[in-house]
Amino acid sequence: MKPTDKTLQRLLNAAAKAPSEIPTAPPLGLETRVLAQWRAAGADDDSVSVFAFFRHAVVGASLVLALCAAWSFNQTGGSVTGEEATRLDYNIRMSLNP
Amino acid sequence: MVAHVSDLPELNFDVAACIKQVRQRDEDAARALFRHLYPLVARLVRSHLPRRTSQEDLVQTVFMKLFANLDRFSGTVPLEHWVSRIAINTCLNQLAAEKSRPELRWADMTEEQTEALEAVTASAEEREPWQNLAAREIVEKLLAQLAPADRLLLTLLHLEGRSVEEVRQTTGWNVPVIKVRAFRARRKLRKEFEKLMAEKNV
Repeated sequence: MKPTDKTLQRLLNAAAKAPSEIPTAPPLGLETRVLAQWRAAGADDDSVSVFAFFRHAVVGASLVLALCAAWSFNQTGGSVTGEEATRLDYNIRMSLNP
Repeated sequence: MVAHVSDLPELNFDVAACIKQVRQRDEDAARALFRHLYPLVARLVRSHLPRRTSQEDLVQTVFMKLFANLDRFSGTVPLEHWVSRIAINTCLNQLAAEKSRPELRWADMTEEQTEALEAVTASAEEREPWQNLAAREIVEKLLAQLAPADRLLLTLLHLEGRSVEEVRQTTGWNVPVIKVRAFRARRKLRKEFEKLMAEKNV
């Protein structure tokens, strides 16, 4: 070990022995600030969840709308076919009449 | 009011229950968790505090990160380890943001510091508490000249007396990385120390 290493080690040992005292109580106002930020972050979370709810609601409503449109289209298409059949049936009947 | 580090853990504090309540947005539980963890966070921040940052601001930042990520705490490691890692990484990021690393000159030291340095380096005898405190100040100034990761590692290993395993748990670095980095950091520290001592001899 180099002489400098020895002296550096002594310095580090002395530094490590320095009493490390720390405050057990936080400084005035720190706790309040941290808790206020925590509350604000919670409020942000709430607004995010409300936004997510509305987004899901919009997606759901769009789905219902699409299903209704499809059902309506089928109904409309069915009735067209039905009217066509009725008209053809009427034409056949009329042609068969003397 | 001050206490030694060994006085820190509150034995009757139910961490799991408290975290559960904090997740349910219970403010009293959040306050209790803050008070329980404050000594640990304050000690870590003070040990690794960047020069231009206020300790209070950095403690506040650590707690905000802690609360924001509390849902990710799985409980597989002790809460103190998890919090230590957040605090140390926050300090490390802050240290990395400080570009300038002022050189320590013999002329910049106080009379008390030079006297303590001469006494401490002269022999391995037990020293007065004030000399240990002065030695601590000098070492912190020497460490401030190193890269943030080197400074962090030497503080943990040589000033806080942590084992390599404890450093691994706190930093998340693997053991070979810690050993190699510690060796190189120690070499850089010795170089800075030699420069300082050379000034003394001029």
